[in-house]
Amino acid sequence: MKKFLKELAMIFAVILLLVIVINYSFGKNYYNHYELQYKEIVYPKKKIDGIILGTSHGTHGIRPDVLDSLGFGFYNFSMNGGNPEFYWNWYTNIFAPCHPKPAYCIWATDWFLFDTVWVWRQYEQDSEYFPDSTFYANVKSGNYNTRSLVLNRIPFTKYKSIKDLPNLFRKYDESQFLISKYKDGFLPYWPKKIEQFRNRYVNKLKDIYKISPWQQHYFEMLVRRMMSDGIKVILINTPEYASKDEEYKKIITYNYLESFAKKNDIPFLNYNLRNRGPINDDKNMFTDWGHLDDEGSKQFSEILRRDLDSVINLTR
Amino acid sequence: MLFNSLGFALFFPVVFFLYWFVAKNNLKAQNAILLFSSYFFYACWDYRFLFLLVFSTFLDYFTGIKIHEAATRTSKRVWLLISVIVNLGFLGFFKYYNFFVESFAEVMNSVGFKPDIWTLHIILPVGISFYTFHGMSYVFDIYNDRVVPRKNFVNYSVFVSYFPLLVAGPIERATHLLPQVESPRHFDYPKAVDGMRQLLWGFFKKIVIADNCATYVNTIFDNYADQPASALVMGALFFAFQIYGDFSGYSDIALGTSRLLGIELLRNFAYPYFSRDIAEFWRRWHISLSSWFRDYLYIPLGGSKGGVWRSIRNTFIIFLVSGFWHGANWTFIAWGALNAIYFLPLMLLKKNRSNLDIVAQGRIFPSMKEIIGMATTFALTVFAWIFFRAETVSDAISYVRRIFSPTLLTVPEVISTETIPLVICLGLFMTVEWLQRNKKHGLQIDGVFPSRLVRWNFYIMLTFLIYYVGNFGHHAFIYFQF
Repeated sequence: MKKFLKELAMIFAVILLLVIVINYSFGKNYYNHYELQYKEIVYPKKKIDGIILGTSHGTHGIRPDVLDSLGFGFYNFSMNGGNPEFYWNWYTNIFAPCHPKPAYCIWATDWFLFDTVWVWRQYEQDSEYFPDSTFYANVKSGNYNTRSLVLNRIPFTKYKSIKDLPNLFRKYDESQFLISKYKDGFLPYWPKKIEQFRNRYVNKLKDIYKISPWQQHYFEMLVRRMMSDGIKVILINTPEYASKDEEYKKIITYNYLESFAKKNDIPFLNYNLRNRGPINDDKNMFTDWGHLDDEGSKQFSEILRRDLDSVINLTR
Repeated sequence: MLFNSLGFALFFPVVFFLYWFVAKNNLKAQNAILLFSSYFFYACWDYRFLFLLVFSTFLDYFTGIKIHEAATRTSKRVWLLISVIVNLGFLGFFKYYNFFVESFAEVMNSVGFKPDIWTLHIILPVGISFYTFHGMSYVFDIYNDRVVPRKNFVNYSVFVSYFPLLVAGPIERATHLLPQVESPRHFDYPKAVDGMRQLLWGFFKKIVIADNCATYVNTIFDNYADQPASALVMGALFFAFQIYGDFSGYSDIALGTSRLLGIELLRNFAYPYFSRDIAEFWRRWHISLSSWFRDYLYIPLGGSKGGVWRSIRNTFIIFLVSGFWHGANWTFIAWGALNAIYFLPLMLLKKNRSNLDIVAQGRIFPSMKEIIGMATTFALTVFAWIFFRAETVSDAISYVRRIFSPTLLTVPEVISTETIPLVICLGLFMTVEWLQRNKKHGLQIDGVFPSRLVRWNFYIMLTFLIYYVGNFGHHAFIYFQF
């Protein structure tokens, strides 16, 4: 028995040692754009007057450095799959307690903003980047999924799929996101795959997207909370390729956003309907149907800067 | 409590510690710990059905004594019938009540009557098919004077409810397990080490092979009408590996766990996908169930005595009952019937016992005849699995029809670069199984890697492979539903 237990303990010790090495390597060397976005909140390098929230369409479509010429400092905190519930938790637990309040929030909404299949991000999945105090407070509160908070906090358990393994030997993965071009929360999305997405997108648009009242509730709550914190909220959405009026006018989410914006006196710049322009029909500006590419993001950010200029002047 | 859960990872070390360090070599204390932990293990599933397990245990314990004490053959038979009727009554009620009521209603509807059917929301108690068969084998063996009834209720209860085999077998025999339960058990180093290896191999089969295949299988079978033929073929193939990895993985974990406690369980799988004909397949697949039906149904029905036609009749009965044992659905009966049909040519040609040895014994590569035999048997088995997996028989037929279409040569959309690790693991899995086909399990590697350092590296690599490629979605074992 002694021999058996001794050998078992030795094997477990080797496994544990390897786990520690892997954990250290992932934790210290490897990073992605989410980590940089969270770092900016806790250790700000830039004076931020305006924050940008949204999904991946926002992350890869809006360049804060272009908007900065308005005379304000912007930072893009849009995150892939970011839904209203996620942002409510992000704002109340991380942003508001750790960062000075900005003057403006540009929320890059989408027609699938309230569909939790499309916008899948869970607050707990980012626990790796939370400040220690926030993490322990979240665990203690019992309001969040403790298992998910803990597993996502530890790099070894977070990066557990085989496709994560090459990241042991590199600083970042650029197969989808060009982290080397990261600037104030923005980074380009590539490679281009616009053709293959078109049909799928149209089908989904017509039939599949759902509206979760739960997400709508969080959306309204967060907008009102930011307004009560003195932040001026501006709703926009980023251009999608070949968006057609007859299709997009039917979208319930847009009707809801329009009436919500009107009711709360919030500007809403819809770049797929009222504010749509030639960029929407230029295939060369897109990585896929909904994500602007490097060049598209530059051109769109210029358009947005121009439109925001008049909106901000109106609200100033 | 699943074997592949954190709960079991905490439960088993506690049992191991109490069993070897608190009970030490005291048999009574060891059995008491086994019984208590088995009931706890079962209660974690659903404590409400614990009474059923205890009742079933007591019934067979009591009727076993009565059969033995009965003075005449007739009274022995009466006690045996009481046991069988009550056991099958419970099994029938919990597992088949709704099936019979609904099938009856369908038949009545087809002849123009519309009866008011009274179905119930019945929850199937986990493991009922397994522990019922355990108990029945004990009673049958007493009736046939193969076993004497046990007076010690704790020992007998451990035999019925021993946690490694409680919910999905192997279906043990009193002649095999009870003597082990009644004998003092001392820690056996080689047995424990090999038990650990078997445990590790079982986890690989379940978490890497079965649960990864399950993702594709579920997508394809749930949306088969939208899939090209190539995806349907892939779905059927992946299901063959899923069910094998799942059930034989479970069995390996059960056997490995039990060996760590010093108890050997019956072998349940012997590399069935290397069978050269369907008869060999059934000697290698779910061995404890096949041999149960052979000993307690096929042979009492006359077996192969009395000519070819009686033998064929008995084979059909066995397969139909075996299909029905799996669940209350016509798909299982169709699956059983298909296997019986596969058996027919072998029985007519009297070749059902021609492949009793291990394929390609003493060689690395099989002969062309063996390859053809294995490929044909595998294809037939995969075809039958479609019926086993489909929701209804008409779904299965429709699935098969769709396979024969021009889209057979297209690349299925469900395949992506993420499928590559699974395909590599499947290749590794089958290669290891092939090389180890004369061993009790795939990871019995003492002779293969004499160096301890190499063996340990292999265990560590396999552990990390399970961690990085495995699917930890907590999929229950398929056979838990039976």
